[in-house]
Amino acid sequence: MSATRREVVRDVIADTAPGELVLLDGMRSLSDRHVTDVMTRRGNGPDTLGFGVTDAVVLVTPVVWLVVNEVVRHGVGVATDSALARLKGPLRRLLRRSDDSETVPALTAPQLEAVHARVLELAAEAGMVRENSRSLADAVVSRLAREAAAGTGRGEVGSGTGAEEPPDAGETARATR
Amino acid sequence: MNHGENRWNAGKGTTRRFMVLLFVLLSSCLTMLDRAALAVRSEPTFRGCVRASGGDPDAPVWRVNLSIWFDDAFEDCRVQVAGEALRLALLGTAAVVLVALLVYWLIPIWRIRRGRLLPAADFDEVAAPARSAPPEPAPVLPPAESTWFDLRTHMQRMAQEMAQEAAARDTPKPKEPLSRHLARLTARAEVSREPRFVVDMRRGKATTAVAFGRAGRYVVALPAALLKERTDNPGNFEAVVLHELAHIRNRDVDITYLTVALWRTYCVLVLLPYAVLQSWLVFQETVLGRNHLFWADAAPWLGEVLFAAFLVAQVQLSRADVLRSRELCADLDAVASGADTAVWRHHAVLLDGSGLSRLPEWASSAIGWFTGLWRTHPDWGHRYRAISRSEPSDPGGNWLQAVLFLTSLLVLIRVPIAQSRSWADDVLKTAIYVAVPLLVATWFAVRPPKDGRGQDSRGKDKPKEPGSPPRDRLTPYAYAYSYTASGHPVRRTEPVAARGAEPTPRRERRSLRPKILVGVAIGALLALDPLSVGTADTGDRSSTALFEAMKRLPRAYQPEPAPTADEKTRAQVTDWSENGGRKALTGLTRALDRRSSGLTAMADKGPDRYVPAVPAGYCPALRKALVAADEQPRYPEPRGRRSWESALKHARSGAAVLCAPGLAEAPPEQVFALELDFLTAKTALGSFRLQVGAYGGGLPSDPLPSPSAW
Repeated sequence: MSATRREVVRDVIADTAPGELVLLDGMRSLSDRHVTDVMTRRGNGPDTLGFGVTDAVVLVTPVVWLVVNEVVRHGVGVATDSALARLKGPLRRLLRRSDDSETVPALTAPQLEAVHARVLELAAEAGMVRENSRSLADAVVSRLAREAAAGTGRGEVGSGTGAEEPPDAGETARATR
Repeated sequence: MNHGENRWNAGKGTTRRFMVLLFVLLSSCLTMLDRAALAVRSEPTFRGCVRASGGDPDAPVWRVNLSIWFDDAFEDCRVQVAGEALRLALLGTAAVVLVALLVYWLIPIWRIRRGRLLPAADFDEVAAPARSAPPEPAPVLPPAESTWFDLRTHMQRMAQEMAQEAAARDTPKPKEPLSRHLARLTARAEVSREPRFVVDMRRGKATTAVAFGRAGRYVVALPAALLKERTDNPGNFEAVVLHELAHIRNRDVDITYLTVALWRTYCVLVLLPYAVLQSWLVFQETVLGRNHLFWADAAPWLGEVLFAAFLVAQVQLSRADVLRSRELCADLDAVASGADTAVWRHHAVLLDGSGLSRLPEWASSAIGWFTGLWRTHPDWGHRYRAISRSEPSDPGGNWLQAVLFLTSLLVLIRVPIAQSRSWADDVLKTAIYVAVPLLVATWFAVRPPKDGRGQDSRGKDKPKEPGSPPRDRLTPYAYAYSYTASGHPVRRTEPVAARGAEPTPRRERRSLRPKILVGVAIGALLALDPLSVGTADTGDRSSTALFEAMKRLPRAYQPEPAPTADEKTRAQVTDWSENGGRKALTGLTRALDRRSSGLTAMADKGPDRYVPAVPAGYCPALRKALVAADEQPRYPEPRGRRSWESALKHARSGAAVLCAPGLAEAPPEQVFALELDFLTAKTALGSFRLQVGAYGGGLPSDPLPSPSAW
């Protein structure tokens, strides 16, 4: 059985920044969409009565969550290209069904490469130093690759695009963004 | 001991300065709305007032002036118009205040929804160990993926894992749930009612916590990164939370967000529309060449737009200055509650030297000084010096505060007073009675020291190496509340007694006295009501009051400005007035005023059928007044002399016809000339009276009859 995005993120956080598990666990009552919404938002400028230490504290959780979320969304979109599938997302929202059960698809090598680049990009945006961002990207790809390996056993690699016909890497990268 | 002193000095007068800021906002709001109401309704109201005085607004200016100058009916109408504008302005100001209160009420709701803030209680769980690894310990990678794991990356990852394990052993894990930790900090900060703690998961907030909310319902938003800091650097976490709790205890949240709400509402509803209105009116007058009539108080000019810009700068600078003081207070309170001063020292060291290193030193310091004026937060160096200062800080304000205070006065003295004897005047008077003692009390807090020495004079605030050891600079008071990074007190010797014994009585004693004085002064002013002394009824206006009122007419209808008088001429005019001149002037004016102008009747009945009326005793009185005027010495000032001589000449000429026998048979031309002579004499006499008044000769205090009755 494939892992959900929350499970995958938790595994990566446990490996790379266990101190942030409290953040992920604190959001256990929220739906995945809500978590994505919170993580996507950016804070404003300085607050009137704000006070904070200015050390470069970079959180790993938002980076990992956003990347894994993109992978899930991308995987769902590629796996089923029918009109019904395209209506799936809006229908889900209409029926107020949670997307928490969406699982992380098994990815091909070019797709993993795109994911790696995406992690580096988001990590750099968050202010992470290059060495740490590379480690983080490796950890994310490693965890996703395990899903791919499990998918190989079940014959699901490629998420409907066919293992023998992997999608173009550039196209995947664009889609992932 | 000195900690309490420094704490008191840092926060001295800040509430009063905030109150002055609120007064500035409200008074400028009132002034702008008043001017706008007057400007928009200038032309119709002026025409209405001219009609009320019996004149024709479409007549030439000199004829309109004859109707409105020194006319009680016109002045009554003008005061009524000004009173209406003031009432509108007061209602508008009240509406702005109501909207501001609504904004103040809604800000917390909006912030919580916009920020998707989550309850801190959800994050109560102590950081659990990582979930057990997936079943496959060694990743089975397809050949293509193996390229990701080159040896270098793999080694780095291993090193990182080892470092994390070591750090996990060394880092003190929080032993208690987050909410219990926060409750403990709340109790330590002596906040009576625990605020609502929420977590802000948004990106880009670094580790900046913020307190907001409304009276009684405060919220402290903790950034997600700060929760991580709770595990990694508990000292940082506690310092930040204690600082925010100090803001709540010091009631900074209420007044800060009230000011923010009022300022934003005022900008949107008043300041911007007013600047646009003024710009548009000025554009119409100067570029499009339209000549609308405006009361002098409401004439559009570009200075009002500049004033709006000045006000923006003034309010921002005042607010930033007060907030910087409040930040220092919160820092001192946080340290007193046990925050680790190493946090401040660390950042002072970290940020020391960062900045405009490419520029020359004087340029970077000048830029730093200028930008620092606008910042609501002092820099880390300043913060660290404030909490580590062992001597009491400066007792007075600084020049910036004094200048801001004086510019506030400039704004406040623009408040319009209509003297319309309506509720608007009562409201204004009460506001003035409240503001005056407050302003006086504030001045004592913001005035710089008399000897001109600033903060640096005694070396208290001189730049200090941020890396110098902080502990030896800390006061015993701060020592008594020092805690370790894990949150346990290092040495806490009778904290309650220490807190209550030294700084608190001093603060109470010192802060109570000005409050009592201000309260007594306000009560005395309200009881004595000095502003109502001297406000005369409309029935017995003096000429001086009417002369002052003429300055509020539209510019085209104002008398020419009085000539600049040298002291010698002024003395000669006063001498002339005192030695019978004023008596002669009054006598001639009264004699001429006993008969009204017949020009209207002449026009109504036709020149052939018009016979001028001569009231009983008119001619002897006029002759007597003319004789008395002839006996006066020569008037010393040439321009006034021309008016005076013109008045005498035309009065004599008119009297020669009017008081001669055979008036009934006089030809119409002669009768018309007679009436014109009297009219010219009265006008010249009025002009002469103004000039005598302008030179300080003194004018008769009895009311003048209306020209409409001439």
